[in-house]
Amino acid sequence: MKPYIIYQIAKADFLERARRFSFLMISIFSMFLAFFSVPNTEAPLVSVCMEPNIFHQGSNPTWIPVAIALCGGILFPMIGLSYVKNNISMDRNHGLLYSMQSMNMKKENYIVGKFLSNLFILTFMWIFAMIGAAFMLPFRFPDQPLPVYDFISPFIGVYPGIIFTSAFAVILESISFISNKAGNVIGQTVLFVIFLINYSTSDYNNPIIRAFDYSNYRWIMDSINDAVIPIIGHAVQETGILVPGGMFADSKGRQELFFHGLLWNGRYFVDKLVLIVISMSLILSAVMLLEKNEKNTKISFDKLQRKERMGRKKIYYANQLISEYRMILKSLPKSCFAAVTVLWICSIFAPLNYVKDYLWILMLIFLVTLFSQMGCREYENNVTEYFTTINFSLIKQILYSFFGEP
Amino acid sequence: MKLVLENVTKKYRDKTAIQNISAELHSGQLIGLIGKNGAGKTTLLKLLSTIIKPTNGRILLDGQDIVKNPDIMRSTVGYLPQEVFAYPNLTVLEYLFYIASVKGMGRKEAEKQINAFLADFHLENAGNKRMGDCSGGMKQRTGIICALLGNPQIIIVDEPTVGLDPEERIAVRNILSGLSKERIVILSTHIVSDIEAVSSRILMLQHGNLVFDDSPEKLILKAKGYVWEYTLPSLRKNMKGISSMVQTEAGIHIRQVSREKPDNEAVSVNSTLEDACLFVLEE
Repeated sequence: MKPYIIYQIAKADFLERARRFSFLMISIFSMFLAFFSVPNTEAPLVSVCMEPNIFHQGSNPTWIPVAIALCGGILFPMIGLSYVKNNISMDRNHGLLYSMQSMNMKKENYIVGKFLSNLFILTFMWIFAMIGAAFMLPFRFPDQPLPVYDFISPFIGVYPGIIFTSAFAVILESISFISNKAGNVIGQTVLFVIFLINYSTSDYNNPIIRAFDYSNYRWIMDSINDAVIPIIGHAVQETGILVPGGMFADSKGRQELFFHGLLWNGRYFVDKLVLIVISMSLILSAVMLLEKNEKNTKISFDKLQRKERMGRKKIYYANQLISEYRMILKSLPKSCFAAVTVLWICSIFAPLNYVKDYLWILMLIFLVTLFSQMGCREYENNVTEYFTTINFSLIKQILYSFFGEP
Repeated sequence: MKLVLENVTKKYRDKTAIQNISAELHSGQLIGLIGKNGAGKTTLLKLLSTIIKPTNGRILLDGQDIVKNPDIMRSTVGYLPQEVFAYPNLTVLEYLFYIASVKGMGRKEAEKQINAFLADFHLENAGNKRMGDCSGGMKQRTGIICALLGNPQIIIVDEPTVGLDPEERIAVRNILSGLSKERIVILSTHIVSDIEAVSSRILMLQHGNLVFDDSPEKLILKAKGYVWEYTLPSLRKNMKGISSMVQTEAGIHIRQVSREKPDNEAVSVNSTLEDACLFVLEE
């Protein structure tokens, strides 16, 4: 591995994405995450709520970093994965990956460069969330300073999860047949399932479950309990993360609760080191899995012509709505259709609680990642240039895409 | 340097893109690759640049099999794909330094070569322009610089003059011609005049088969006596082998390649490389 080459690959990829307007928007969204995460039981959606009948929620600045780390630890890797998981597939789809391989580019340099680029992007976004939190402190609590450790340690605790997400994105992309939408769906589902296991397991001594706690949920909860137990004599029992505001609207808690950042714990520290080692092994696996040559993807000219004739015929008889509908369906991987169908059938027969808590969320993740184009198809393919020359075609296209999706 | 293709075949599922191609290419040659769309030109170039592997056959570089050991070829080839993709948010300089580093070049060497190429290709003032803001011609020239960085001994360029203005086209083909003195340069294009101006050898592909492998002069000779010019008041149905058609006051002036005299008024004229290409491909 050559550091200079890795640096150039990471730099090029990072600059390419950081200069996009979407990066600015998602960074602003990260700052907004800080605003949104400040606990407020009267808000329509409450980020974090702990023993609302005992404690005054979000009454001092120590709540801000803890609440952001708790919500961000869950949401940020999932949002971040969707955002960063397209750099290798973009190179592959445009042939740049294979051109670079013909330049004797070593796979390890390429993969490590892409991983570092992912990491830089997510780090910047996380820093934006921290900046947002820092702005919120004087805004909400003008005369209450917060010790640096109490502010920064909850954010740092999530960082191994960010490293894991960056590595996970790279391995999902290194396998060519799942590198596009299917990979997004698989990635989101895996992250969600890992979180669910961590959230609901009673066997938290299991080293594998501990190591995969990318959201740092357990460590933060232990740190919260460290502050709670001396006051009420037991761990937090009534909690809510990302729950509707109405649930706690009548709570009367007036007791002050101060957190002290992440509680130092060697065991959790080792868990985070293990998560980083897992991330490194994912990168190594990605190096091995990345193809060395372009795969055979062409089909015979006759077959192409046959397909083209069929397509032309159907579009000729159909209108733009049906054309949009067909194009949307064509772009979706069949495996994901199958998965959504299985989830749909399961949700008919499974108990309602189970369906509400797990299956519907999984279906939502599947469908959002499937139907989101992750970059406008028309802009990417310069179709907008044709559309702008035809009256109302862009407006019609947007409407038909919207109606075509369900 | 010698590049040998031995019975190279490439199949994509049920389609044979390249069939049993054998050829021997030497340093000091600029080889023009001609063929219709779908003839297998890009597949052949991808095989030579080790992007894809042949289904059958061997490709040897100085006696070493590059299918088994692609790194031998990859350390010495400069490849320009048909469609140049560059990160739209990187500047021309950033992109070139990126490609130079991928090729394993150090910063100083990269800087020296990039500056020289930017001047050769008239891109000195475009260094800080983002690739997404560049014109098609600028992108194409940047792509050619990418292929030439690192002083490759084998240069493979797929349609390098697409989107270039006449002046730039001439500049590009002259640079390629100059480079071919000590290297193997393979130039694939639809623009026959580009090949006519610089190629010492032509490979012509049709339906994946090599149908011609010789000098441009020999190719022109093939069509000698089969090129006709005549004027018609209007076009006939199913006319084939027409290389030019000009509307004049007297009617339509037609230049046609045909084994038989197409019209009583038709006059035999000297063949050009374009006529000859049409003649071989129509045969």
